[in-house]
Amino acid sequence: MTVLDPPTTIPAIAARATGLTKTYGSGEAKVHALAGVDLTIETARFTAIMGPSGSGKSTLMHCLAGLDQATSGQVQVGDLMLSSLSDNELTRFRRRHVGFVFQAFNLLPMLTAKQNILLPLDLAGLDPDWAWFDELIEVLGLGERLGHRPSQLSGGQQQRVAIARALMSRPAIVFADEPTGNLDSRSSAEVLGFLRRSVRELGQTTVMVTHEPSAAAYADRVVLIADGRVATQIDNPTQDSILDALRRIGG
Amino acid sequence: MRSVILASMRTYARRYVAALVAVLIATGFIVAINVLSAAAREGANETVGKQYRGADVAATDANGPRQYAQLRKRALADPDVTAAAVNWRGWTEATLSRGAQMVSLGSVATDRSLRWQATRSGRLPTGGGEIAMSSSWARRHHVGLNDSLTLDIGARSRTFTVSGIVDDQDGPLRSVLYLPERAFPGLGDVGEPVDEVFAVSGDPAAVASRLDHATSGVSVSTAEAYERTLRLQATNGIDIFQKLILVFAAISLFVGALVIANTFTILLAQRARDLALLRCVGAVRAQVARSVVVEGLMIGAVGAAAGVVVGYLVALGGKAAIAHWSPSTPMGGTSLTPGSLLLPVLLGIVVTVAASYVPARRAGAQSPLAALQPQDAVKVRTRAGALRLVMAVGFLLVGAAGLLVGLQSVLVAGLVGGMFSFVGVLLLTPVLVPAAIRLAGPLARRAGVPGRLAHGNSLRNPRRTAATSTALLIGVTLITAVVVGSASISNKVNTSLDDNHPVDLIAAPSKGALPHGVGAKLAAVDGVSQAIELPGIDARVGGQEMAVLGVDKAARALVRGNVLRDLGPDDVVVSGGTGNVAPGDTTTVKAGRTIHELTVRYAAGLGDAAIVSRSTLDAMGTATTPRAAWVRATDGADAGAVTADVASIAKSSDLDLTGGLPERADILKLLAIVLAVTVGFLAIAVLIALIGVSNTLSLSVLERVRENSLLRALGLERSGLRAMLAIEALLMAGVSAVLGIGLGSLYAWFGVKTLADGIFESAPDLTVPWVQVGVIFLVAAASGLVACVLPARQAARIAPAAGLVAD
Repeated sequence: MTVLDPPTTIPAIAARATGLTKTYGSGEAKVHALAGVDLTIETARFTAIMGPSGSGKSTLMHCLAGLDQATSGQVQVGDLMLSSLSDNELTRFRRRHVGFVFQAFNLLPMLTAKQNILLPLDLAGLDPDWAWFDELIEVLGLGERLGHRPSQLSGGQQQRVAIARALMSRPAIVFADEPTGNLDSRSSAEVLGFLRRSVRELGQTTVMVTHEPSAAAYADRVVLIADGRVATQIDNPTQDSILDALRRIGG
Repeated sequence: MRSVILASMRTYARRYVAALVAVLIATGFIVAINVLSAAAREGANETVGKQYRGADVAATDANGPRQYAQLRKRALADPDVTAAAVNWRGWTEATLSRGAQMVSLGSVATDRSLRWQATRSGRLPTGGGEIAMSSSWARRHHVGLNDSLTLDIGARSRTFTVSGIVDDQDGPLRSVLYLPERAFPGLGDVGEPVDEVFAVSGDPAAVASRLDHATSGVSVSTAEAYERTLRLQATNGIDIFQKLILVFAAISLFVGALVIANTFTILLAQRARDLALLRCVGAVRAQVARSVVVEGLMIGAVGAAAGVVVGYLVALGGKAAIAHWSPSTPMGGTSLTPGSLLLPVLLGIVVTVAASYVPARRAGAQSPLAALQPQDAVKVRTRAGALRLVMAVGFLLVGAAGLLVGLQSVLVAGLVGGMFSFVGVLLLTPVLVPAAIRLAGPLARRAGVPGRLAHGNSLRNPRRTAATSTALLIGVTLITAVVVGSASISNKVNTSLDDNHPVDLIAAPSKGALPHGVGAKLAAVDGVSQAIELPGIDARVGGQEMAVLGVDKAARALVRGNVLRDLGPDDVVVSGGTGNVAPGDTTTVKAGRTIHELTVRYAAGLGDAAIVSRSTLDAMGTATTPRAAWVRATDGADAGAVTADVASIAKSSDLDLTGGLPERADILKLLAIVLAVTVGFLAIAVLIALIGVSNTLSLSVLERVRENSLLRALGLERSGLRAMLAIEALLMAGVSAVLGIGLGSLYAWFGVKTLADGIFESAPDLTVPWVQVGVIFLVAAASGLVACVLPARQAARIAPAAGLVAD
């Protein structure tokens, strides 16, 4: 198991957004989802992106993850500039460097848990690292559930399978989009706990979009987005400091 | 990726059924046709071999029996030639209990070694008065061993004794009756030689080359070489028939391809989020598209394999049916050759893969973001729409060109043009169907809220609506084309029969008056609806002696068609070949002392007499006597029996019998058979289309579980939801039915014009059988309704809350 040293004074940069804008529509109906975002995501840290509905937090995540192309500005992940990539290159980038956990519909209904976990590697035509697979299954407590299909799993179990899939290819960054949005509070705590453990114990850089302060409090840093801009950032947040900050920006 | 494909095929197996069945039926159809025609070919080949079993050398192309006799003399002088026989063939009339019938005559070789007939009972005829007959004919006409049979030979009748009954044996020499070879030269021009065969003790090739051209013009070859050409002739008909049916198979395959493409489109729409998620976790476009194509490949392979099995079983059934209904038709073994197997299987696979290709491309273009957003958020109004339009116009133009070229009686061009233009129309359905539904809006809105919702629903997603309507459109178009086309052709046939044979049967003496009471006797015949004696008078028409008949109202009512409808008092109708008068000319009709100047009109099928109206005839004098009897048969009466009965009355009164009844009956019967066969084969394509209807309708209902639940949550009752879905189905079905009927009529017009060229003098007009078309419309609407019943019930049962979160 890779246990990283406590954060050093100058952390490495996993991803960087510079002057990122994203607009929809044109003319009168033009909407700025992102209005110039500058942001760095540090390696081996758990970053939460927060903001009220319509603040642009999901759009920001989609741009960072290579699911969507920004209108202008740069996204750099590792040493790759995403804006210069074609659709196929973006797909390969996601396959190789990014893991996803979504709010719902994370898993293909016709595949078993194990097939779902191995899917990205399967798509890339790579052989799985079975030791790593076993370790993930162990940590996420999925040993009993590998042969089940998503419909036979609880919501929390489904999200654990999704986390295992996201981590399986040892991506540069894991993006989690409201991963607890559909879960009860116990399962939420469990899933958030796993995400934090993967950062602490496995050194996995993780970015989570959420609008729940209680979920954001699990992160090492909270980035608050409002009206398409970074409003403020809070290191080592607590639920109270997050709520205070939200109140200040009027969310 | 393989695991994804296999897993999704397992999970969605039920939804592939329609595509699978479409491939299965289309390939099965082809396999069955190929196997059956191969068997028929083999059977035909075998019969040739059987009928030339004893022959080693064969001679053909002699100029009459004398040359064959010369050749025989010369051949028998050759020490290697052991026997010779001439095969004869002839036609004559046999007198039977039911009247006269034309029968074919064949010959029995004098030399035993060259006889090929197999006796079932009795023995083959040898003496002058003996005859053999085929078993099926003997059974049908109740003639047995030692019975006597009268044949028309030249001007007189000769009676033969049945010495044997022989097996029916199809082949080039097949006949109903067999006379000894040596009886033929004495029969005059009843029979003529077909060829001459020789049995040889040495090398047939050497003998053949010695005899070849020994007699001028007669070519002699080995029997082996001769049989080869006979086989080609025998199987030629089967080849043509096979190609003709394969046209229907092509239509089925085409419809199958559309159903498959449709199924895939809808399946992939349902799986949009699956595919988007695949894209999220790293599947490139090509991978997603390839996975769909592989699914198509597997469905094609499984469907085609099943089709081979089913087609083979159908062929076995078909062979059994042929053996039962038509035992004399020779059928060989039903074996699957690589050729008859590989092609349909390949075709099935290729068509399925090709049909899945466009949906696959579209699936590959799925944005990964679609997985993260609620359904329906991504609206695609892109180049694809414009591209589709451009393609549609292209297909329509090419298709129209093909159809127009087809009108110059280029059947293939017409067929290809029809397919291309139809694809063009189908590409346009997302525009056409919603436009038509918009027109039907006021109707739907009368049904209250569900009606309004249904109308809006069917307009909201043009592509979905179009996909659902397409299958029905195909089915309705095909059926309408056949129904309207066949009605037009049979109408044309009827009118042309009416023009050429306005009177069913005419009995008239060659000279003088009709014997007393003939009309009454004829009217009493079973199956005769009307028999009238026509009064007439001897006259000179345009300088030619002939009888002039007068028709009154009753006689005109008996005549079919319009030839005598507007016969005026100053008109005279003559048959086309009479005298040197032309239609429109004025001619002089002298009867007794009266002279009339009448306008000449032509009509066929009214006998040798000239015809005037009754009042004109009365003006010609009082010395009229009955000159001819006109008979009209009851519709649907057995034409053969009526003709035979009328013929025997005519014969006993020494009258000549003419008329179109036998020909009319034959043609109408043939037409009915052709139509039944066409509809039967098309039914296969329509069946595939109907599978497509229920498939697409139920899938499109399932696709909307979420929004239906929202409607329920907002207060739409269960019955309201069901009504909404039913109205939607009715709207789509009704609109496709109307479009299909219009299109089908148009194709019928092109088809009739293309096919009729060369068959009829003038192209037939379009006849629309409104009752049948109405039935088509109702059945189409009902099938739409039926197809939506189950999915509508299912949709209504889902609790609103469950449906809202369902994916």
